[in-house]
Amino acid sequence: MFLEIEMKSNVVVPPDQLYQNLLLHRSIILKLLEDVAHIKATQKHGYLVAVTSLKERGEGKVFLSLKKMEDFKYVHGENPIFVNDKNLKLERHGVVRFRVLALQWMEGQREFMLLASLEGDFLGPVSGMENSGLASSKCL
Amino acid sequence: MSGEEEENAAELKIGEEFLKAKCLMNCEVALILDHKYEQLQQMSDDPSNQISQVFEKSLQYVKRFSRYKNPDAVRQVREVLSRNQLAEFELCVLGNLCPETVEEAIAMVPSIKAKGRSNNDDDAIEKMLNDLALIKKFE
Repeated sequence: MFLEIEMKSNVVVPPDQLYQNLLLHRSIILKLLEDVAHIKATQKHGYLVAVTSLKERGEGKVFLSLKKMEDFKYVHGENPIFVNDKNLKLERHGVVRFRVLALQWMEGQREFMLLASLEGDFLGPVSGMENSGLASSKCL
Repeated sequence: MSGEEEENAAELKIGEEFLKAKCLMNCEVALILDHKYEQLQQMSDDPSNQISQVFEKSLQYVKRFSRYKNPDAVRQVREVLSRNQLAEFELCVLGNLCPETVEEAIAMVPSIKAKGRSNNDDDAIEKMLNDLALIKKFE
């Protein structure tokens, strides 16, 4: 699920970027986008995808809206190997439909680890499904 | 994770942050990220700096799982769903999954039929789904 939430943040703009007016505005935005990309994720909100808008309030203070997503980076499956009795393969770069069992925040890497399951109807490797509403239903 | 035992999306017990926050459907996110991508390319000498893996993968994901592509259609979908006294979370789940029948809708989002929500009777839900189907048809 994607959320749009307001977050407060202090942005440090290096002195050589401290222009006037519009150029300063641009420097702040660029620095902010860099920072957000760097932070990548927070335990409280999940992954930070993009900044949608900037609300400037007062001197040197910036409020921002961010969009967040609960997502995954790295998957342990219950059957981590690759072939089942129906000859379906789980392989790198393949597409797999799974169900989320649990999430764990890893402070060091600033990422979430995901525990997923392939036990259930319609779960497992899928082949080339475009615009399938069903495929997203298990990922909420 | 603490508090997980009490949370239950089917009953709309999803934690205050989710209830209060503005949720976005995949199709809305796709439009936003597309636009953002263009903005970044114009604004920066080195756009790959701001385009993180998270951004790229999110964009791929929402493009793949969007039912509606046209901005007008997306706006209409939000309008139709908003007329039904739904929580933001419920609205987005329906907008993402596009159930075709009332039974499907209730199976996907059980909370829309919870007690005390007499406004959302089957007819209203069916009308809403029909409107969504029409939007898709003429997109």
